[in-house]
Amino acid sequence: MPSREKGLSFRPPRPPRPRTVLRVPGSHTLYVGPQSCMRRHALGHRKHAEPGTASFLRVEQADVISGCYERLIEEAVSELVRNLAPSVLFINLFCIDDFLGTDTDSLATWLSAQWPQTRFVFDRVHPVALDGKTTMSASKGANLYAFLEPVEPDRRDRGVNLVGSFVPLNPRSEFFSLLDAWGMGPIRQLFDCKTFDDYQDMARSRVTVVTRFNGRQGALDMQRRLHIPSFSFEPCYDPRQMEGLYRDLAVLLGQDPPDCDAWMRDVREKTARARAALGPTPLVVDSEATLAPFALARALLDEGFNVTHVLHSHHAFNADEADRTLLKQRYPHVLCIASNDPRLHMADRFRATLPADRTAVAVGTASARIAQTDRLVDMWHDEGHTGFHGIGLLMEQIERACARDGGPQPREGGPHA
Amino acid sequence: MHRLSRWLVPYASDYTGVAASLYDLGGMTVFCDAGCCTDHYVLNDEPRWRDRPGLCLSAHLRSTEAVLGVDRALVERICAFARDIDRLPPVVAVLGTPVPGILGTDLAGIAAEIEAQLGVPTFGFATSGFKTYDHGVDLAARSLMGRFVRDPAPAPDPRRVNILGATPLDFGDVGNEQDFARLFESAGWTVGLQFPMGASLADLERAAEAGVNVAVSASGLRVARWFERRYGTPWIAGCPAGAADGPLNRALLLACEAAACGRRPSGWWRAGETAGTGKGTALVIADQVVAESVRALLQARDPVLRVAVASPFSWDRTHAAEHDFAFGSEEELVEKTAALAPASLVADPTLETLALMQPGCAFAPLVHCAVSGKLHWDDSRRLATL
Repeated sequence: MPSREKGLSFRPPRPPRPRTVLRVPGSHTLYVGPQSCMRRHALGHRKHAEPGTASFLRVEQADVISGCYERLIEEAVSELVRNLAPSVLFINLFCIDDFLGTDTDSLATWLSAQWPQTRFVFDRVHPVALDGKTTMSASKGANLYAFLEPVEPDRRDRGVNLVGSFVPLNPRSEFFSLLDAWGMGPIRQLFDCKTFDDYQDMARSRVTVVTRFNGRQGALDMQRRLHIPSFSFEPCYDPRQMEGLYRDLAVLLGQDPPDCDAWMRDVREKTARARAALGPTPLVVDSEATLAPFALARALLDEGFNVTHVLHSHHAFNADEADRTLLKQRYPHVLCIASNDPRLHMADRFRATLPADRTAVAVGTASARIAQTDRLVDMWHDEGHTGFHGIGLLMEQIERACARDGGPQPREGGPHA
Repeated sequence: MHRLSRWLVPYASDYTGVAASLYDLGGMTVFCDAGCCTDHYVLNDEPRWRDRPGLCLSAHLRSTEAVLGVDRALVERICAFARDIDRLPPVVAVLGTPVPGILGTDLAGIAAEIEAQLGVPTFGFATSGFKTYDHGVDLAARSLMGRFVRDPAPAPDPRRVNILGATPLDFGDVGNEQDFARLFESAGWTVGLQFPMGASLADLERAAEAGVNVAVSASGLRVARWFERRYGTPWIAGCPAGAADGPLNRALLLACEAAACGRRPSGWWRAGETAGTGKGTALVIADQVVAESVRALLQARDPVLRVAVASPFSWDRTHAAEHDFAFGSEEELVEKTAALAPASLVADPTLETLALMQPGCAFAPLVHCAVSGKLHWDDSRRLATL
């Protein structure tokens, strides 16, 4: 399959989802660019964000040519700081700025000198610069935690920062009871912070747990500047790996490794039931359901499920590259398709190995579209699936999807369900 | 600061206008972008994408390619893909976005290369993302018509009408364009070209056979004027609204008939009139042609009501009545609205903030998809029900 990093790209239709706009309390975002670039952010803010937390500075072609771009930013910032006095002003630039070479460091320094009560940071939405090496959400994720200030050692506590997710982790997961048993807490997440002081309290925590790839940079920054160790707890659907993660977390926190037997037993039972319900029916997995589709597919295949297709993101999340290699080696029959492959416009081409009676089970709505099936496990970016509980939940969802005769089913798991 | 918007949403852009205009032709549209611009269009501004996704693709540009020159690679990718699909698309279009706009990418040249290789009519649109959608609709229409309209055409049929400017960005995907066609057909007209919603290449070829063009939106008016200069076809600017046998539609049909027979010159179906004798003023913010129809309906219900019209899009100054205004920025809109002090506001739901700024101002939503996009496209009204 040719790399989709070079080539035309197709965006399949997908159902609308509730979204969360992560925001530092008291901050404001100024988008600067052509109106076409800013439009979806404006619509997104209207729908998902707190009113009045974003503004839009329209740049014209003449500004680009004349070079008065930076002066426009200064004027806009002046107006916003005078009227809103934000704690942080995020200034968001777009692709064209990559070719204009705005000296954002100097501009941020100058702005900070003009308005010392406000912190300034430049973000970018610039897919033109992706080149398959990083993602914008990862770099934006780092900026969100850049304003945490170090605290004195006597103010440190046993708090746990959770970074990366846009929604709370499933409270039914054993992850929380485990932390509780270890005496860890409070749990701190950006979207729970109501004030700037709440946000600053994240600097007091004992550990930062990365729950999604876009939290990695922020966690590393906290480790470097604030000496808060980070731990990767990104979505995992392999019970043996999950056991290993808890063991490693225990070591980091100076605790005894937990007894995972009961959780493993529960997962084994649910897996067996799902496998019995599914039988040889094919499963299609996609990167809308999970940010680690190769890892999920590999874990399911190892448990005897018949995964036939994986629709993976064309972005370099680097969430499951090792599993991608394992999949190729152990299960070469699995068809891996980039989610932006333009041939997805003619989805028939990918259905040859799927049942003509549309009984395949889809994990994710993109899979459902390709497989033309109503037997859907409606997951979105692993939301609601944490720890052993998350694996068990997935198995229950697969079992229920097998029982469906068709038609839309309510989403399960996750706070937006 | 006049470029800064605190609550006014940036509008649908020119490349969106082009893409929306090409959609029903069943061709292949390639955005010369990194991915975001394509997403903006299909996910935020194209309601038809949900149920019947077209062949809209991104060139998936990256910095290195953009700087070193993407032309040859883009031609190869597009031609390779076009040959790979089940049948060649009838039309191919390559659309500019901000990055190729500032780099000066030769989209016309790329299009010529693609056409030479595929033998399929191919267009390169120098859109940039800096202008609004109405510019794009106009650009698409002129390009398509300049290429496909049979010229010279047979003698025009005075009972044949083209409906220009029915875009989902102005009217949503709720059936307004079908209502427009039905109105004319029920009055004994033959509807030729409906552009762009419902357009086909066959209809384009015969467009010059129409006796009159009716422009149902401001972007349609731009096209209609160009058409008259090129093919001599008269035009009437007016958007059907309200009951099929209501006074507005009757007047519109009569105007079209008169124009087709040469009994009146091209122009608006009626002069814009703000003045009523009542105290309060209603302000309608929408596409200028649509807003004029809303004004007419409001005045038909309340003849003493003063109604002003405003729009940030294509604006016919010669038609504007007293107190009507065009605006370019949120700041200008707020200032001019405050000066008018309207008692009621009819506008896209995202402009309700403006009504809240005016003491005692009532608000009536009228969805304009080029403003609110996916937020409210399902709430678009069928103008026949107003």
